[in-house]
Amino acid sequence: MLEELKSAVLSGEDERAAGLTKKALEKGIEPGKILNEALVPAMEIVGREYEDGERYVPEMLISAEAMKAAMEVLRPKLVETGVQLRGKVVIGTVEGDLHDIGKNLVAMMLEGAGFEVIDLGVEVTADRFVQAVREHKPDVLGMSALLTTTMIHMPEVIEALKEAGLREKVKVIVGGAPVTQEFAEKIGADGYAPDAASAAEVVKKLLGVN
Amino acid sequence: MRYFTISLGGGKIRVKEGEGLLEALVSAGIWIGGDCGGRGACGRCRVRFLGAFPPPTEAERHLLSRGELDDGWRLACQHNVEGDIDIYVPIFGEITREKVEIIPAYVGPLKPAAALEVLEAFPPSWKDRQSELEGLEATLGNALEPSLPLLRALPAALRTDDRWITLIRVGEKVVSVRPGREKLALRGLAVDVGTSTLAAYLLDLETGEVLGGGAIANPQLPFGADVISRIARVRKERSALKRLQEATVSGVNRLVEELASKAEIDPKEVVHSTIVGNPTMLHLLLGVDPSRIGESPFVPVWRTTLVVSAKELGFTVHPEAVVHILPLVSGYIGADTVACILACGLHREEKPCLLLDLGTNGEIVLGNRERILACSAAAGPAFEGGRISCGMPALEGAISRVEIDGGIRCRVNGGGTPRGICGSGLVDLVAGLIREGFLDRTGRLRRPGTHPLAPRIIGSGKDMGFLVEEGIVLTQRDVRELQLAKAAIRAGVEILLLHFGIEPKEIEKVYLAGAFGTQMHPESLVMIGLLPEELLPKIRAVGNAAGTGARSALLNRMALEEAEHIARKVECIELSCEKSFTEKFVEHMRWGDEGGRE
Repeated sequence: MLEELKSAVLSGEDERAAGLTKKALEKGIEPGKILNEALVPAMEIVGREYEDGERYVPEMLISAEAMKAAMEVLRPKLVETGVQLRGKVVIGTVEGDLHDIGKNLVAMMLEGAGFEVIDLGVEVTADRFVQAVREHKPDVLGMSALLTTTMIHMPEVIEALKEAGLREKVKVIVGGAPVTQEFAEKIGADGYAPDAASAAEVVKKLLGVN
Repeated sequence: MRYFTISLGGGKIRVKEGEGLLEALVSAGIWIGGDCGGRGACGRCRVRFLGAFPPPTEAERHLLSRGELDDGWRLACQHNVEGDIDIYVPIFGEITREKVEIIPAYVGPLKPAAALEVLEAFPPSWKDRQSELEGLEATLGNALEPSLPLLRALPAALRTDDRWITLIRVGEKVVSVRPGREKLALRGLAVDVGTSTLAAYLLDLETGEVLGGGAIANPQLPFGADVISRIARVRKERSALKRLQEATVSGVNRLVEELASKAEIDPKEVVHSTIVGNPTMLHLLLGVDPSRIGESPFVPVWRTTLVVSAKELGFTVHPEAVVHILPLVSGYIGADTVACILACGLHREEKPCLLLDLGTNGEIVLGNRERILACSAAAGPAFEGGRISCGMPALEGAISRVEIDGGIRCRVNGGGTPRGICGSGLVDLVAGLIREGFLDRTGRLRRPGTHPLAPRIIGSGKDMGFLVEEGIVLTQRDVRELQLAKAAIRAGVEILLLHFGIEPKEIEKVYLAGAFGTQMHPESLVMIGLLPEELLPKIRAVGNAAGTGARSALLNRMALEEAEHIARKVECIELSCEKSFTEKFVEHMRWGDEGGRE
């Protein structure tokens, strides 16, 4: 059953993935087990295949959509049974930037890796990032920018976190086409990932989970 | 100020002490790789120092191997010129001048805004005791703007024996006054400021004849490969705006000088100029801060047609020459697009037509005489050979056409040994690989076992590639770059169709503008899914339509008004605000069903 769910996610069959999740729950399989033994491993394979050039954005997305469909069914049960997710991530595209494909992919890959993800959307100001960190108390804050002209807002957010006394409470990761490891280090971010697949790895490493 | 000499193979360049090496090479018109705008991140501006070489920077240690560093290889963006140097620039080694491929003849009526007016001047009399200017105005029948150069030229002109004087006018403005009624030459200059290329044309305004046309690499290239990185540079460094402006103006002046000397005319005979370009390029040319274009809501500083004088701009033509900067539509749809529409006559068509201008940014226009929609899609530089491992601009040595069946045949620009592949060659190549089963629907390279070209697939996993010619490999990553580029354009086309409320088959004509369009094969464009299949018979290349539009505005004053009219009529669709854009973008990253032998 779990193998079947895994392959449904891999081949991107969203309805089947949702149906199989429902069936697994009805059969009494623990929600935590469904997550960790079907969904998470499936998305790990997706990430690996992307790294190897086997999959590209569309093929990654269809699997992510199937995973999402399964999560819709699973999420309430996870909450009910008090299953601890691996951590909480707040994510958003910075001020002045309307691009969200990359950020959405990262959000899905993180969810697929067993994290709770709160997506703030696009054109998120420093104030809103700070407010969200205060409100949701995430382990990680992720910022995305697709323009060289908007990535300059990333250090502003980090400054605002410092001013609000929240910088020590959250790990900051950054990404997007113009962003580099060097830039991430320069602005004092804790992590950088070149693509959605490795973003999940970076977050795992930062939080010491695997 | 000290000057040094950079020697490269045959040529020499004189450079100011301390100038950036990359900047110096690009200003000299040398095409050199570089996608990161001199940040030392892409490693494509490599040059080899043949004499003594500077110690490597951190970026160089990161991007170049130990052996390369020991052989004197460095990145041009990392060094300033601090002495005479002798270097080797690979691939784009010679001082090159891009050819202006097609100069379509101007077909409209010849009614230039620039004109000569011959008047009989009457000596001042006691009777009315008017000023000389008023006397002239009386003969002319209208008032003149009393500009200083006009006043300075007037006395000499009025004191000739034959009493005839000649005015050179552009519209209402008097550019100069000359004694006598000798025939004077009237020349015009049309300029297209593109993100990667500056193109200019010299025209005889009386006959409409093109006296010459040429193009050089935009001297702004060292500041960044695309408009966004140049805007970022302006925001970061206060002095960058002025430097970008000066670089652009001196680039235009260099072109004018060359064209004028080739045509054996005096640049001072140029009395009227029209300029087109994308919004950021025009802001930078005028020294106006384009920062606002770099961030949502992406607005320009102005939109309407501007009229300035050549001396205000710093153009070394007639100082009083009238310069018209054609109008903008939005922060991303500029005078170049307006000029393309003007040149194609899309705004007069009854049935909807599609216009694509695929440069670093792809502009897409769909419309007819009732309504015109436009959007700009961030396609990236793949169609210009940028960010492709074996890519290069459509210069000599570029593979511009590829045919694949049982074997593979490449056409190289200018003949000779291929040095890389340009946009049209890339599209041909990928189209052929799809057709022959080397690429599956998702864009993954594979080795079709029985195909005679199967041994050309080399490497495995993410390092897989297709060997095109010796030393030229299309990698899996290159395929991905093209997928992104074509998906962005196709999604833009689909969104415009949706807003216009029509199906692809209702499109009457498809105009492909730009250098890319002239070398492009419509079959390949359709095979990679850049355009829907039903548009295949309707595709036609129109060359540098932006330049053609700029030239029409010189030759027909009505065209200038028409441009303004077009600009106000175009409705812009902001793709990133479109809900279905992501969906369409992702959907069209795959190849269409039309391709792929399973």
